[in-house]
Amino acid sequence: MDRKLVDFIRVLRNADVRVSTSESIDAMHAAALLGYHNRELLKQALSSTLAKSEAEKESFNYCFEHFFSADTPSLSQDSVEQWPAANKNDLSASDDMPSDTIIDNTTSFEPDISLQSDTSEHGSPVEASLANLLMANNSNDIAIAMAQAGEAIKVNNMQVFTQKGPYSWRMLKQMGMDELQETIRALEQNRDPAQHRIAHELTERLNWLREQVRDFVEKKYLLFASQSRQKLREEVLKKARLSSLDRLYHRDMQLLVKKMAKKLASQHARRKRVFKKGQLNAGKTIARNISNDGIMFDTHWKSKRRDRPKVFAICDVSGSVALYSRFLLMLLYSLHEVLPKVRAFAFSNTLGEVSNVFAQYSIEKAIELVNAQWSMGSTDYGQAFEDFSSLCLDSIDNHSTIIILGDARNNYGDAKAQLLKTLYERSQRVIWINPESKSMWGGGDSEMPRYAAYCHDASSCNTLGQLENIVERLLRQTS
Amino acid sequence: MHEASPLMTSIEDIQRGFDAQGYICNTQIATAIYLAWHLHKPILVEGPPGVGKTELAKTVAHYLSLPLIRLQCYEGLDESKALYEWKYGKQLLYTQVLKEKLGDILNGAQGLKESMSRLHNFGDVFYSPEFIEPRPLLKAMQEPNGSVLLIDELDKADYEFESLLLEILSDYQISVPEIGTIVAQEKPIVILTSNNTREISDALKRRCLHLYIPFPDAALEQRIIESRVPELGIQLREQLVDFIQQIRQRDLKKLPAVSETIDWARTLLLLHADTLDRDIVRNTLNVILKFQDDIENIEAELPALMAKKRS
Repeated sequence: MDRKLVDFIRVLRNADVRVSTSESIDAMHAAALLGYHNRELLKQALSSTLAKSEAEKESFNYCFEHFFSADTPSLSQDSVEQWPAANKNDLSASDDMPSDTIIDNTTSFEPDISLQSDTSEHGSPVEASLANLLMANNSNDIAIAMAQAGEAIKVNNMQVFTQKGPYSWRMLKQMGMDELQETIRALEQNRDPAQHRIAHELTERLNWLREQVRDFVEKKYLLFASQSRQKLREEVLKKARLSSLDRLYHRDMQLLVKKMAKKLASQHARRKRVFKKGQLNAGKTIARNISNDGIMFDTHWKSKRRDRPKVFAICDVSGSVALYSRFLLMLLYSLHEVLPKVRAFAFSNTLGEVSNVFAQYSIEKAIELVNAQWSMGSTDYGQAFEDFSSLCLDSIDNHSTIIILGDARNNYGDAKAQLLKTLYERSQRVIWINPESKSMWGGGDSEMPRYAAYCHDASSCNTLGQLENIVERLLRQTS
Repeated sequence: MHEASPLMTSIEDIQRGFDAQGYICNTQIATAIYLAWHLHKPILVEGPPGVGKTELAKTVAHYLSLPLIRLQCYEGLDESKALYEWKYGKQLLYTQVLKEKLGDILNGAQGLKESMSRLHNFGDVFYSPEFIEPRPLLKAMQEPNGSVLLIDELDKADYEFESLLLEILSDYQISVPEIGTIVAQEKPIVILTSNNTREISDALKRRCLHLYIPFPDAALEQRIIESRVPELGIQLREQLVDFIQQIRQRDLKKLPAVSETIDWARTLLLLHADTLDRDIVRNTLNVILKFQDDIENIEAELPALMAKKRS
């Protein structure tokens, strides 16, 4: 049963519930304590040891219901609805037979016949086992057989949806479909109409079983594989060049950016701290001054540590770079928990502050507005730096980080690198993010080498993953 | 007394015992308590305000006849308020008093070296358990018969404070640099509550069992009211719970919690109401709703709400 639990934990992890090893151990202790007989109790025990937030509880409930039902009931419903008709047929047929065998479950009687005839013909009881199982109409046994077969072929290892077919087939094979088909063929060749009927019956039930197996595999797929596909896609998206992404994926990207921001925020939340200032720490002062005969000589103050980096993001929003700016801004503004002071500036030829737009509207809407207002005109970095300097050179101090996002293609205009130098000297860090790869820097109208000289960090960045790394570095170093 | 306690042998017992205390709970809550007791794990209780998170700790303490030690969290809470503090006044006083004794101790010592070594023999007398002022967490560790430690509204404390709790929650011990490690004599039952104003760190969550208490459903709420305000008539109770349940479906700034339902029941009792009519509801809405906006919203919808109830 512990293996089952480990499987279940895998399912949970697939569904984005974070389960650590110590938590799985707790879960096993809890399960051992309460036993597996009471489903509701088990669910509650596992829920309290494994799912640690409201969202996780929801995923947990979903997974629990599906995981622990995929193996057991599922058949009963269908078999009850489907079989009465068949039973009736059997019943009318079995009238010929000795009447004392008409008990509530007539079908269980017939397989014995078929089994006997089978064994007499083929001489092997094993071959008939699936036939027997099917005719016995005991959904529990069938479910158990299915679960065993699933285990044997390791259905839990399924990864992608194309595997569903092969896995279903292998499972049926594992359960003895080949032998069953053999049996059916043999029965059909028999001239006895009763045997024929059994063959017909068996074929029908085999079809039914096929459906059940398909459902079973489908459920397993949903539990074990569908989420990992989502993960796979996210991995791919992270590594894809932002400029080459289809608009179709923008929604996915936005979700991904939010997820990233959340991760970064929780990792760096502790760096943001504000303490009280100007208060005497009486206890510590007395303790320190015991050695001074209790005379308050060496005072100890409650300290204050400010840890809020000021970030100025300057984004080129013209044409090709716009997409990158979009994601950078999205990421920065999703980080408001740990980066409360982000001021954003957008330019193509003239530069203006767009922080207010982000404060007023949702990120998506704000980005649209910014693009509409600022993305006209040909790029002029010189002008942009001039505007930026006149706007907020005064508020840049040694706690400020300036992030510039752009391709540094200045249309052969005046680069005004001196302005960047001033910024470089005043601020804590200047980070330049260039979507072009390094080999392209300096080619044509690119002023990148001149600008890069006045950056603490100039890097090429064209995937979301790289963007994340850069922001991560920013959070680490500003503290 | 752990394990052996007859009060904790089964989940049903716990539930029944809590019932007797006037705390009506579902099996989920009882299961969590049961597990916490047997696995020696702290429980992190989350849920909207007013669903009885703090009450749960009180009930557990009462049920097990253990002392309840409560630590209310707030911004700026630090170890000197939560763990321990040195008794500075006492230390100061003792140094003053003992200064005179210093001469006796050093009497006859040859040179500075010997005087020093004599002084060393005294060790850190001022940093010994006698001078320690236990704060709630340390106090809980020192209770000889165990205790129920309630760390209330953890989300209000700073992020750093959570790290402070990790040692206590996983090993039931506190390290005091000057003395050493103080291990719990009897592991306390630790209940942490959070109102979800911020996410609790993973490290802490990993060490705790997690219990989410949502608003109760109608049947449970009726039982709660029955146990808390037994004087209230059945009919009125049903109407009242019905009404509250309906209000919780609305989009409000603050949804009425169980504690508000109880307050409202008491209010109605005080007003000798025997049925819920529009006037009474309108006059007492401020008991269950705490924002003027909410009150106005619901007031406007009152006819619809009351009509639905009647049908």
